[in-house]
Amino acid sequence: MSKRILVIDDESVVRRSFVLALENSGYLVDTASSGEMGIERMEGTKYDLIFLDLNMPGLNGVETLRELRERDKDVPVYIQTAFHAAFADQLRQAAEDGMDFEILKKPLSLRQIADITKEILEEAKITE
Amino acid sequence: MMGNTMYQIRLYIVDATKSSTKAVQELEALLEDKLKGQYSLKIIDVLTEPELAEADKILATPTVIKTAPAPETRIIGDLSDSEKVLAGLGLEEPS
Amino acid sequence: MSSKSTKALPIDVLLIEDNPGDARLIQEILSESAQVEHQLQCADLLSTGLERLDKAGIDVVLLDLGLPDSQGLDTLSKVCAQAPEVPIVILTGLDDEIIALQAVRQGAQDYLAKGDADSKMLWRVMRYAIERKKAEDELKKAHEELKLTYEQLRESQAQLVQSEKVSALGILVAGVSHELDNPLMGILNFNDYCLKHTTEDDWRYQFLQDIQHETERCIDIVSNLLTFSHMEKVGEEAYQDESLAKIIDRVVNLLSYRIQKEKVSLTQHISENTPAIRLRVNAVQQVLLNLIDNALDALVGSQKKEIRIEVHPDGDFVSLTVADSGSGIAPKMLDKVYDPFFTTKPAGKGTGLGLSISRSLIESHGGDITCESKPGLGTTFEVLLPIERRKEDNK
Repeated sequence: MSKRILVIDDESVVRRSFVLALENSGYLVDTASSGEMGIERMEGTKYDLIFLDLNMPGLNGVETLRELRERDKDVPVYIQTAFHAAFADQLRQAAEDGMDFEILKKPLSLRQIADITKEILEEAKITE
Repeated sequence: MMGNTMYQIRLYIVDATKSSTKAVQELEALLEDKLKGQYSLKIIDVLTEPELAEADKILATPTVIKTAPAPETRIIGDLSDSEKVLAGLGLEEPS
Repeated sequence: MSSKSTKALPIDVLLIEDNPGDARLIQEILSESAQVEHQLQCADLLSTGLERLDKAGIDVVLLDLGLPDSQGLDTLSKVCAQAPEVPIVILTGLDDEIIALQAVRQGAQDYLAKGDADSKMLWRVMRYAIERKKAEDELKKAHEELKLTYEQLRESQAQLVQSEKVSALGILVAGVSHELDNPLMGILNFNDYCLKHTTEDDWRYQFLQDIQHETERCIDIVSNLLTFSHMEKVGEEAYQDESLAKIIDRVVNLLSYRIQKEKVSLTQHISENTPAIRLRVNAVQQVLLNLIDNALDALVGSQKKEIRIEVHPDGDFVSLTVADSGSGIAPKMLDKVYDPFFTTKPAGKGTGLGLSISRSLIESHGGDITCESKPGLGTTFEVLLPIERRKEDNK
């Protein structure tokens, strides 16, 4: 069974980048343009990996994570953000509230998206 | 050969999460078992020191970087697979 | 008055009075009361009086303004000039109240009509004069201190305002940089995708490669801006190990537009054995930005446009110099360069705070900034940063 990936991001540019990057990866990629739509997608589909944007209008990244975790405690969630102190506080609060997540840098090139996704989902790819 | 080299390892995580605590424990156990003290492990919280992560060109957590001995290697993702981590650190078990 | 107002005995009185009758009168009145040990000296000419004052030790002067060798307020000013710390009581005739009052305004402590002088009155007036002088002097001193404190306060307030401005700018820059993140990612990725599906012999291939290259440059610039604009207040920044070469590159990158536009030749000479040092990255970046920016300003209108950056170890320190080939700074202005508000830039162009802030930032590292300049040849700023931090500063 192919692994399923969900990309939640309000920017079409980002969603399309992920789709293009993972085109020939063998994974099935679904996208959602908002936190609310992302949650909807999860009803009835079990995902193996979720990429989640931090700053979205409406339900923002952390709030979406909260809702998401109520439905699936184990799926790896990678929150996409620039590595900047400004966002640290919200994220730290989320972690202290007991939610698990990892961080993914933004922006990423197609190759980086492809490599990292593969490394997360499969056996290790050693980069030298 | 392996007895005298100090391994320099940096681990980038999101410190406050439960999964990272688990990851740190597993890595430390692995390192202690295989390297028996011949290593220095530096743990960096990406939320507290994002500029270090930026400087080290970290793309995702968790990332393990081995800077010594050369060459530098990086591992991203699931660290519970000990074979994968060992291979990543250049510490394959001779088969 | 506090107990310190009690003068050490005896009280040395100097009487400058040319009329012998008046002089004798005063002498008698003084010795009459004998409650206080005193010594009375007399002079009948201003010049004699001044000589005596020069020898010091006089506690109070009784002064007649009308003397053979000096008249009126002129007499007073000469005495004040000779002994500015000695209290003066003016002895007046019956009609001299107006001039006496003027005298008090101009530095005498009190006045006394000779006719009114009895022992009690004279002693009271002299004591009062001594106390008043003391109080005046203390007030003057306090005023000087206040002025100094005010200046210092003004300087730190200006630095604070400047740093708030820098902070606000930092927030703005960070915001804009983040806005650019996604579009840049899009351009890079879609272009990359096109490249993947274009053969090398296609006429579009080279152009797509150029787009890739230029976009990567944009991402680099934004990344530098972001690093530079970190929202942490510079004062709270943590220390970390960083190579100066990296910091210099980042700053030069940021200023590259101006460097190219003004056709300045900027060279870097970084000694290979320079160690990475423990420093506050944003602080040092800010200092370097300030120095190079100043250098660029110095070269405006200059024929020779060169900036030379050098880094090499120097004992316990690492030395970083920024040298420009501009017109230099005149020797008498050299001390002032670190003064806040001092600027040689045209109105509206410079706040004059950059170097004073830079110096504070470097000094907080335990380092130093110095400046050398030869008018006509150029200016060199040298920053010295210690290689080892003191233990208590390590985080």
